[in-house]
Order: sequence, then structure tokens, then C-alpha cells
Amino acid sequence: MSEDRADVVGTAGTDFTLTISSGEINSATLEAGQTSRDLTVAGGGRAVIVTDLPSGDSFVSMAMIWTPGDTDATVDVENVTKGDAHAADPKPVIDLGDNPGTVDLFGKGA
Amino acid sequence: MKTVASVVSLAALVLPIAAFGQGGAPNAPSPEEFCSKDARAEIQTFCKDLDRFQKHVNSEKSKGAETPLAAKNFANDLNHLDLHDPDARVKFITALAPRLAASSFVSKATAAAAMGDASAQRLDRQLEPDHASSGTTSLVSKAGSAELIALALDSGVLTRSVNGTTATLSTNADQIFRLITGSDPDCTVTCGKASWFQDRILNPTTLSASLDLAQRGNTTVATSGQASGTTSTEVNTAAIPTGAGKLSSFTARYEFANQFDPRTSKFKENWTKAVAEQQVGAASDTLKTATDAVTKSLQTNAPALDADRILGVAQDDPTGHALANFFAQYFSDALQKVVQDPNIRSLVSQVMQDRALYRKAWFAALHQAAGNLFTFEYNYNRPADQPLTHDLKLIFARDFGDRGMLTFNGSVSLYDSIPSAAKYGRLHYGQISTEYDRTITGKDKSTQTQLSLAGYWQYQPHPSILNIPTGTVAPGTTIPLPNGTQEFVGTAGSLWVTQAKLTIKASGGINIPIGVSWSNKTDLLQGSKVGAQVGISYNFSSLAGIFTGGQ
Repeated sequence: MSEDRADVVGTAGTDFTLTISSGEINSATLEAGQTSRDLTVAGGGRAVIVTDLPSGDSFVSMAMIWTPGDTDATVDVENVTKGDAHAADPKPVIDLGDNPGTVDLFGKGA
Repeated sequence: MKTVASVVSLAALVLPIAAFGQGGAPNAPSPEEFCSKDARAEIQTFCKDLDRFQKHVNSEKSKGAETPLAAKNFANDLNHLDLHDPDARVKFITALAPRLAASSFVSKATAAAAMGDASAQRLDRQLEPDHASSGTTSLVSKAGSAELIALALDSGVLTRSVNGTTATLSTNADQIFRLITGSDPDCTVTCGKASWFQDRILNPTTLSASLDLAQRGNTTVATSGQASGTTSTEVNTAAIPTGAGKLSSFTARYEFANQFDPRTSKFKENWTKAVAEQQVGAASDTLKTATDAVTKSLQTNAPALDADRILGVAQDDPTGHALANFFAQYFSDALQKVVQDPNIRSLVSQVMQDRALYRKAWFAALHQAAGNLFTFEYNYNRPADQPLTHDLKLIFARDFGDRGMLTFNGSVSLYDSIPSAAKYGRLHYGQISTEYDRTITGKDKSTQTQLSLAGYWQYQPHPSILNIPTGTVAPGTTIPLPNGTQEFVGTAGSLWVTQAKLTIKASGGINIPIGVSWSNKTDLLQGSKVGAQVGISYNFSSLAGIFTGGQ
């Protein structure tokens, strides 16, 4: 994966909130290489708070609960409190029913 | 047998109508995908992503976008097709699992066994024959269905006079269909039209058959002459025993689910509660952990997708067929590399097991949130030396969670046929009954105990009927009674039964019900009776995978 293909690109060390338009996140972790750390789920299960975006490739893994009537979930970035981050254009999508849900991240710079 | 035809016709009319009338998660039909008819499993699994990518490419070309198209404008599409990318992992594992034949069998069998253990906590399963059987522990029929296959042995009677032992085999039509055909769609919220028949017809249908082990099967054959002796009475026919155990009843039941609209606040409220009670979140967390473990292997071993090449292929052939061929080759290459990891089989097997458990919890939550309207049950009874009957029963259950479950039954029993000059009508009896069940110990442990208290009232307009077997002679004489003679036995009116039962539920799907009952009379005898019932049932969930292990 490269910067061109990542779902969310930002400066390494950035803090931001990932949001999804559908489904519910039960728990989430940030997976970077062989390391994994828990992330805070917010927004009634529709958001994950990502802190200290790692440099290079990583991804957010989300244990999902899909509800009847849900649709594909569009991923977006909100509330960037430190640094810079944005979602790809067009916006990334998590397919309805996919479990776990995945968002690719790329952190620029050291 | 006219009544049989009537009942079957009624069922044939009622069931499909009701099935059509049931609500469900409305999945809007997606426009035809170019790969929807492709027979290759990997193309089927990734069809939505391939179609989305091809349509996106075609759309950009039609807008006059510069060629070659830039991969960065198709990031989302390409990530879902790149087997090295975590975005593609869920579908990659789905396509990978059947290729790892050994673990497919293990995962199905293990998942089924785990699901069997989980379902042992249910209060609503009906594995025993109903109260009218000559060997039963169940006074009130439950609303829920069996799992794949369950076998129950029961001894003791509740409303009958003749004590016996029965063996009952129960199965869910959908589980059997999946077992035989290997059609086991790995879906929850996306299960749509493709599985309508399974969801609405097979899944709510349970079938069971009971053998009365105390009865011997007989066939009457003509004799060909006296072999020895000097008796003057000619014997023209003889009953040949054909084996121990005779089919005493056959049961078909259908669960009618409530209609629901997922957009209503009522459903959302029920869903939230059901998700918590069925522990869907915990199952999802476990699935995530197992999938993350596989992802590490896939990221190490699966080759990255050549974005420029796949874009070129999609541009050159707008039909998508070249794209499907390209992806099939890419998948094949990736498969060869991924299977080099000696741990991949066990890792994928764990994911498939956890998916099965998540799916089980998800559908249990949906079932709970929607709620069951009622269960319809049809019994075809063949009691010993009594007329055949057809019993039609409605079952309603109300689950109060930790406080237990209440089940209500209402049924009528009809005689199969009425002989000429009969002094009774078609109606055998009508009954209402109720049962309260509650898990009293070991709620979250492998061995549990369940307490059941039941009450039953039956009213029959005429005394019970006893068939007089062929060859019976009038008392004190050698005068044979005419073939087809029937006698009234017992009394008309009310039959009351109460039962207290303790069921020990052990791990591995073993249930041992032990009950004690009191009744004011039985079907053939007057006077109150205190009886005991005991049984054992086993859930054969581990049979799952026996037909799919070789795939």
C-alpha cells in the first residue's frame, strides 16, 4: 500500500477521529506491523479516535455489528486535533456485512 | 386418510402464504453484476468489488478521462481487490477457506460443536415427542426448533395409560439442506434473495419422527397350510414380526416470525437489547482477533496487486470478463504463496469457526428482536391399538430473559377416519396447557440445570377408543369378534395433568430430563395416577462438515 492508495493519509503523529456512516463499531485496534493497540470507540459506535498516527502503513481493525437496514459504510475523517489527516477521494467504503471492518492508514514523515 | 389429505392441503396453502407474509431485513436488489453468473468461487466472492471497479472504470472512460487512468483515483476499488491489502482480507479468507480442505472440515465440525454447546442454554428447544406419546418427558411443546440432528430417548407417560419408551429423531430442514448440498452462505445482514427459500421455508421448519420401542412392527401374510398338529381350526393368516420399534408419530412444525421494519424505533430498541443479551459484540470481538491474526500472514505472503495492469485490463474490456480472468489468475498465484505458511490452515480454520459463532449470535439476536408470532405443529399419531389421529397445535412462547420463559399450547386432535355406524365424531379432544421454564444453576457454565413446571387440561367429548385386534375372541368363548371392532374405554370429559421436571444440560449437547407428574386419570384408565418420566437427548452437531470435508 502506498500514500496514493491509503484510505486515510496524514502526518505521522496526527490525532483524529474516523467516522463511519453505517454499522456499529464494537471495538477497534490500530495494527501497525507486529504491534497492536486498542482505540477508543465513540459517537455511539460510529467513530474511532485515532491517536499518534504511525509512520508508513498501518490499519484500523474494527469489530462490527451490522444491523438489518444498514448499508455500505462511508469512511471519513473528523476532528483532527493535532497534525493533518484526510480521507481519500472518493471516500473509502466498508462493504455491508464485512467483519471486521478495515481502514488503511498512511502516516507521512518520520 | 381423507383427513391426511386435508391437513396436507391446508398446510400447503397456509405455510407459503404465511412465509410470504413474514417480515425480514429488506435487502434492495442490486443491479445485475457482470460476474454474478461466473462459476469460479473466487470471482463470486469478489464479484461486488470487481463489478464496482469495472463500472467505475467504464464511467471514467465515458466521461473522457485521460488514459491510461491513474490508480490513485481508484484507491477504494483497488484496495478491495488487492489480496495483500487488509481491505480485502474478509473476502480473501472467505475464498481461501474452501481451498484448505482439511481445516474446512475441522472448522465446520468444531464450529458446529461449539454452536451446539451454546444452544444448550436455550429454554425453547423441543427435542422430545409430545404429551400424547407412549414415551415422553414433555407435557408442553416448546416453540423452538432442533439443531442439525438430535436424538432423544424418553420413557414414561403423561396422558397415556400404556407406558413405553420412544426414540425420537429431530432435524431442522435448513440444517439438513446445508449439510447435504454444502450450501452454507457465509452471510448475516447481506443474506438476501439468494437464500429466501432457506430463510423463509427451510429454516423455520423442523421435522421429527418417533419410534415406539416397545411396539413390534408386524406384517400380516397368508399361510399356505398346516405344517404339523391336528387342530381342526384353519389358520389362514399370520402376523410376522418385522422388527422392534414402530413409527408412532411424525411431527412437522413451522415457526412464524413477526413482521418487522428495521427502521422503526421499536425494532431498534429490541435489536439493541437482543445484541446485548446474545453477546453479539463479544462474538464480533473474537472474530476480529482471529481475522487480525490471519491478516499478518496474508500481508507477509500474498503478492500485491499490479494496479496499473488491472486498470489496463479493465479499460480494454468494458464487459468485465477480461477483468474476471485477470483476477482469477492473480488469486491463483496468491493462493500458491499464501499456503506456504504452515500456520495458515489453522488460522483460517479459527476464523471460520468464529464467523460461525458470530453468525449464530447475530441471527439469534435478530430472532429475538423480531420475536416469534407463534409456532404451528402438526402431529401424525399412531398409538398402539387405538385409532390414528392428526393433532394440530399452536405454540406461543414469551421469554422473560433471566426470569425464565412461559410457553402456551392449544391443540385439537382429530381421528383419521370414522367407521360406519360409529358412536363418536371426528374430534378426539381439545387441550390447552402451559409451562414455565427457568435455568436455575450454572447459567454460564458447561453444565446447567433447568426447572420446568407445567399444567395441562384436556377435554374429550367421548371416552377413548380401543381397537380390538383381529383374532380376538369373545370372553369365555371361541367366537372371534368381527374385524374392525372398536370399544369405548375410559371416560369422557376433563383430563388434568401437572408435571415438575428438572433437566440436566451437560456439555456436548446432552440433556437429561427427569420429571414427575400427577394426573386425575389417563386416556384408558380411571383414577388418578402419579408417574415418572426420564429421558436423554443428544445433539449431533458434530456431523456438520461430513459432506463438505472433501471440498
